[in-house]
Amino acid sequence: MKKLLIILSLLLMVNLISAGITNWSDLAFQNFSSKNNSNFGFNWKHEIETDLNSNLTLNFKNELFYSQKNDEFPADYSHNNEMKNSYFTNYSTLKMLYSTDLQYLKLQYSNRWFNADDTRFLINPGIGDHIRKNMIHNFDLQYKANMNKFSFSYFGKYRNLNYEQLDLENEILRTDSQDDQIQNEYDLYNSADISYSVNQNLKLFTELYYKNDLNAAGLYDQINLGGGVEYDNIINLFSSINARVRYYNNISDKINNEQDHNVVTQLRYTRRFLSGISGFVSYVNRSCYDNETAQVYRVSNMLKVQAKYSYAMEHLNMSYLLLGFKFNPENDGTLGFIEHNQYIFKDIYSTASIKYSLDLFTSYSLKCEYFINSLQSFWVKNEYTHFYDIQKQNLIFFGSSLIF
Amino acid sequence: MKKFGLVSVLIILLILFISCDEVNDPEYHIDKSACSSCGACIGICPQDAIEIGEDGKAVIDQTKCNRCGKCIAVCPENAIY
Repeated sequence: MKKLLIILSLLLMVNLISAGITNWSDLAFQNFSSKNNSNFGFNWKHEIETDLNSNLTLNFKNELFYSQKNDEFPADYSHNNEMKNSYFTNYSTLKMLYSTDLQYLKLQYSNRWFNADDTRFLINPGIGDHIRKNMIHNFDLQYKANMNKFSFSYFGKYRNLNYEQLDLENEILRTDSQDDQIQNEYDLYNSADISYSVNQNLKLFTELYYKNDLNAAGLYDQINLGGGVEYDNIINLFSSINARVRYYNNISDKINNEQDHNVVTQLRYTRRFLSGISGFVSYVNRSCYDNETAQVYRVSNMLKVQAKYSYAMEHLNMSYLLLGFKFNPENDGTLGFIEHNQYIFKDIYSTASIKYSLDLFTSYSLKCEYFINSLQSFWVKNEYTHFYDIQKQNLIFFGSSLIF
Repeated sequence: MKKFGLVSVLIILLILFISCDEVNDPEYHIDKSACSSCGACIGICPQDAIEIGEDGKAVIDQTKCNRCGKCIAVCPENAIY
């Protein structure tokens, strides 16, 4: 609790001394209830950005999430949503951006802190037996450059995971200090690509991804080498089409041989009508080729269709009706959704939505939002979800979204 | 005529792709157009296989991922496929 108060005070101080700087602040209190329990929690996101000069920008973002433990969910990794509702974590990012017309550079440090006492343990056969995450540090470097018809980009990430190794005896978690072992894991990720614009619509690209497992055996090293073609055409003011085909060769001891050679095909068509209707159709296919069996395999297919009807501009926002579905049979991801936003009166809007997943859940939500102006609002929201394989849960939120 | 040809090719490709056998141990990927960067998948991943990538969206380290599917259940945007 002490740590929590210190973090809250620091955030408040940052907020007070940051006059003249652009701030985004989202704060939401929540009450999570399941069959017999009711738990309090909150989520506070704050982002500060300042332009040091016309090319240089400094940005700081912090996200604090806390939720009381729900004892109805046992300390058992089989429950998918326990981590979502039973933990205490903080995510901070500090980044510096340098951009000109031809170049872009980003330097970023981020860390994700988990309160070990409140965070349920995890099984990680990849690392050892049972672990509990304490902290993740990330150092990122990104560089992009454009030269005539060529463009180049590089991204590097150095990642450190600090965790506790735990012993499980008779299915009871032992956390006494004698058995706990603080350990670290390090990974280095590198990716680079070069693209060439053949004309206004057509682009060819080649890419390299190299992951270096910096731990003892280097068992998790991976190299991807590939390339492809991208077609982008804005047909007119109302419609556009995008197509992208990409091949890559996967080289890693940890990747199934069947997925050594991969092809990813992406298609997207967007359309807008004068009547206020807009929408898109997108399709992604992942297929792979196995050298040994000389056979093409299907990895996944995802078809998305969405249509939005914006029908009335009232005061600060626009009322709309949104309909859509996603077809993704390979990953149990097939679902349909409907969302309706409606102006009520005096800058108050309501949003009602239903999400129906064929294999995982059905979710209903109702939100009522009061806009002080176009940048600041207060809202209340109720979200009821029925997970088919677990149980029903109810979340009530009270929150604010402020830009100042 | 051009449009008809394009649509026909797409339908043939779609039928070919869908009629293939499914791979035994399929990889999971992030639908970047849907990901809201909330980090729920990073917290729950028992393999520590997910992190935020260069574009601010989640990315899966395929060497660590064991296809347990926990990230699919917590993703509020249903962005994992």
